Amino acid sequence: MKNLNIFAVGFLSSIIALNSAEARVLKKRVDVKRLEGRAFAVPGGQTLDFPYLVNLQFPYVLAEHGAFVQRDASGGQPSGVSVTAMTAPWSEDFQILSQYHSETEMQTLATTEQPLPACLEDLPMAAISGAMTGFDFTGGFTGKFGFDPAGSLGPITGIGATVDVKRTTLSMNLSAVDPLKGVAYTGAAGKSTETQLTIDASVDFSKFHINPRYFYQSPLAQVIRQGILKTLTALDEAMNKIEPWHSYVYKTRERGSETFVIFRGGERDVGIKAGDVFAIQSLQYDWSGTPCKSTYNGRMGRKIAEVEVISQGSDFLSEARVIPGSETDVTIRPGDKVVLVKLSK
Amino acid sequence: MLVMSSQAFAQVSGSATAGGFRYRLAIEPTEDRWITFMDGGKMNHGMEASYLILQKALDSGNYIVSEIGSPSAKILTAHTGSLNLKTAAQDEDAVKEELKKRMPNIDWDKVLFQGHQVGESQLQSENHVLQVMGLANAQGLLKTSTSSSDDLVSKLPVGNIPTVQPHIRIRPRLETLLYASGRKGNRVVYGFDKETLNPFNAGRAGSIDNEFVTPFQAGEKCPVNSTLNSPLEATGYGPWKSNFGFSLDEGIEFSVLGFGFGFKYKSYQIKTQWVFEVEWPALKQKKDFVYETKAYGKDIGISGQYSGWSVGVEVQKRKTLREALNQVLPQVLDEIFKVTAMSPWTTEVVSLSSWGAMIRGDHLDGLAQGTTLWSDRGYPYQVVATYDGISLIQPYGHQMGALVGMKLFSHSQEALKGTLNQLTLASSKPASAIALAAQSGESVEGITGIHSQSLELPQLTQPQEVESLQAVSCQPKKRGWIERMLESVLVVYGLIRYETLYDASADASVEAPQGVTVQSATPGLRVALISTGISPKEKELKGMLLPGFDFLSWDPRPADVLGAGTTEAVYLKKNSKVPFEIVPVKVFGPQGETHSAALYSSFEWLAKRQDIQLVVIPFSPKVKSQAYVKGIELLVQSGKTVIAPDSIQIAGVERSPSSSKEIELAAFESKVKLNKESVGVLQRASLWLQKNSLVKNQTGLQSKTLQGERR
Repeated sequence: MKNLNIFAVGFLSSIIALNSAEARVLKKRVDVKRLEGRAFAVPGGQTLDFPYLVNLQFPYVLAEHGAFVQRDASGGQPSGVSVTAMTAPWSEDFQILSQYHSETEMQTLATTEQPLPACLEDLPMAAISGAMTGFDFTGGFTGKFGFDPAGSLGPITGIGATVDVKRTTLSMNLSAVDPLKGVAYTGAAGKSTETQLTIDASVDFSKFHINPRYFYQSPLAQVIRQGILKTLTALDEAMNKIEPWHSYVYKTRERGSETFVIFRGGERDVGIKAGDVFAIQSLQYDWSGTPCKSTYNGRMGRKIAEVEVISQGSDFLSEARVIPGSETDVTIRPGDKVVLVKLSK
Repeated sequence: MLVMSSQAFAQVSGSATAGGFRYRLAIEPTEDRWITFMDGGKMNHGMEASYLILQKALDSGNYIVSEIGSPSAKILTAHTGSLNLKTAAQDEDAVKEELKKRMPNIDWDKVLFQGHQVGESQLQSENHVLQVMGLANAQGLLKTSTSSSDDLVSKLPVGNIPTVQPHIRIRPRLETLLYASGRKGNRVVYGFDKETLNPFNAGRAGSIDNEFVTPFQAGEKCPVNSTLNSPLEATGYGPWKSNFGFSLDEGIEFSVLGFGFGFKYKSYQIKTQWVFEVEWPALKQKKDFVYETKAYGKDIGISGQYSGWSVGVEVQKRKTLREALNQVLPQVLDEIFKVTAMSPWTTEVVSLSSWGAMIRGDHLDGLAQGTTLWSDRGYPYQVVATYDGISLIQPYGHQMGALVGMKLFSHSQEALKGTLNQLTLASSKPASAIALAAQSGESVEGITGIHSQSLELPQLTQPQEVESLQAVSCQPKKRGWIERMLESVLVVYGLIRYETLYDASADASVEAPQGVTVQSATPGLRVALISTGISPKEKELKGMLLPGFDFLSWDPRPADVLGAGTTEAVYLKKNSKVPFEIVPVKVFGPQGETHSAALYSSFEWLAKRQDIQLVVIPFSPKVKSQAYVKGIELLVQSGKTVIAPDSIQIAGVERSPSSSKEIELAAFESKVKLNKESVGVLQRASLWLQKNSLVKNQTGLQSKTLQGERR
């Protein structure tokens, strides 16, 4: 079993490695909500707290998967305040930016910002929510062979062996929820099937039944992990069909005639590299009352510029400069949408 | 004119519906319910329904779905690097301790920490622990130095911004969850439905689970009898064991001196009834859609032995409750959509601009450039552009008269009247999907209107855990090969016994008992005996048996498969020597097993029967059972005489001390031993019968005399 696991992990890692070699993709900045599920009782009145286990592993497997990054794990919650109020990772990021700008420019960068409504300060692409919808024994096979000169088909006293294969399936449903509308705009179902293979030389033939202990004899963590990985892959594909990678403008600055845009997502967290091209969309939000506290109706927008990333080795922010000729007369503002156009090679 | 980059927002998410509109659907969380088996294992069902509906609704392309769950759902955080190693090491121990406490039977070092194969540089062992610890904190399991996820929730838009009212709201509700296995004497049914619900089988927060849980450790104790002070033991081997052959519906094994064969077929079935309460808030309409699903499990095993060499295979197949539900959900959503499509798609104006009016909805809702919508006063408007969540409309051949909040419909006023009428008509039908199917002239597979009375669960097999535990751990002692061979040889006798003695259906006169008052040919005192049931073939009791009920298998034929009940009835007859009639009530299975729901249901049923004067309870549980106590209280309140063991401390019960000796009687085609506690109760019941029979006879005589005098 252990060998199988190692094989499975190796195989999966190879696939991930292959994929990453084929094409660079940007990780989606998401929030993760607590996944629902149920604890289930095993004979004897004991309980396996499945939701606890799944939630325990989820962020960890999410990081392993490679298509997503948790928004809060990617550097905290910077809001448009002053540089001095920023936490260490941000200072680090600004150190990178300061390679390109003077100290005065950096100060201006940090202080000339118009504050956005709180809920728009750092929007993730989606909030992932969902549930573990099943963890079931779905079938099995037992083969046995033995020799007992004295006896019956009961517990064997001579020699014997058995092959016992049990299939356990974990089912998950994940959905990507629009952070403003609260609508699940796409979802994915995934399954992980764990096959427990036991070859045992000392057999108890009386066990002509289903052993309830298969639940925790199986490497539980692997079943959960694979279930999450598969469902995340399906969700990633579903999200890709709906909208391109996007983020939001954090700051802008002018230097001479050039405009520079700093947006959320850097090389370290989402994989943005110098040369990547993004479109900037100016957004107008429509609320039924006070922004963030009333019903969100929707937003209008239009492309106002294209930018090319200039920062290298950034942590959680990227800096890009407006591609000459692509801009309109509309000013780029914090909160504008940054949509992926093209990745550099 | 504003130039919109609609392409930038043009999102593709599958095709819209035939009518072009997608309806906003809100799904409420489903209550999780459960069945508790005799070994304490639970089978849950319910909560997954909302998530499966969400997925199917998205797949169908007919709906836009609101997020499930409360807005306060926590955000998980990773907090990478936010803990120092010292803290992490302490937390690791704390997490492990907590896990061990919660789930002590799992080797957490293997299962959790070694189970992960990360392989990524940033997730090496120490970091892994850090992440795990950070997460543990986020869930509030441990109170350590990391920040709370609540801080993040307050900044996250999801759940904090009011959402738009949906077109449709679904509240799934699990009303029936029934598990059945076994045939004849070893048949068991667990669970609940609307009619049989009681505090011990409700399977929801606040209900009481089975109190007669058998121990898990195989081989340690006999799990069944350990819960009773009055052991119901089928001692001996083969024909000398009163329940010999009770499980032969599952197949046989035959082996003598190294030659033999075996065949086993075991199965179980689970039925559910789902009610999907559907509401159209804007139209103030509600409708229930009722569906039934079936899940099953089957084990087939074949083995053979020749000259000591044996070979065997067993195949297990399952259709899970989740799969069964998943199968029926597309039909549910289609049916809901059929009704929904009769109603207009609605939206409203959210703001006004110099270019027109902005309405809620975009291409995801099925709006496109050129889509016509109608105001409630019958004026048409046309969509000229769609954005993200909102669209721009302009009047079509008339002056702009839109105001913020004005409703717009997918149908014109005339069409609207028609569809509303249709919907009202449809809604006035009985709340069942069958009505819809009949109305549309279509047959809808898998949809039935069901009631508990019509739940004909197949006479099949056994829960995996329960059966295995009984087989492994309820052996009085480990049998030697001679004993096993003897049993093997005598399997033919076991089969005959199974087919004849345990065949409850042999007594055709017994019918469904719910609330029945039976007219007896020989009116006399009526005694209910709560025990293992009574064999209708017992010659000693001929003419004395009235319809009873088997509360373990929900069967109106309370046949005895252990012998205790039959022997008790015979002893009561012989000891009292007066005429009376018996209502057999079965609450124990072939190995003396029971569960709280069955026990309580039996008391509840007897309390409602007006034709019974005496209830005999010749046993007491070793475990503290609320089902037992509350049930007896019900009986006492109903005015019946209750005779029970001395250990029962309930006012109004006639308590009987144990007898000084056990009694062995020839009954049930074998010899069955009654223990001191039950003998004591039966002796007291005999005295009660003698006394009350005399009173009844005297009353009868006086009555006859009075009638004679009047003549």
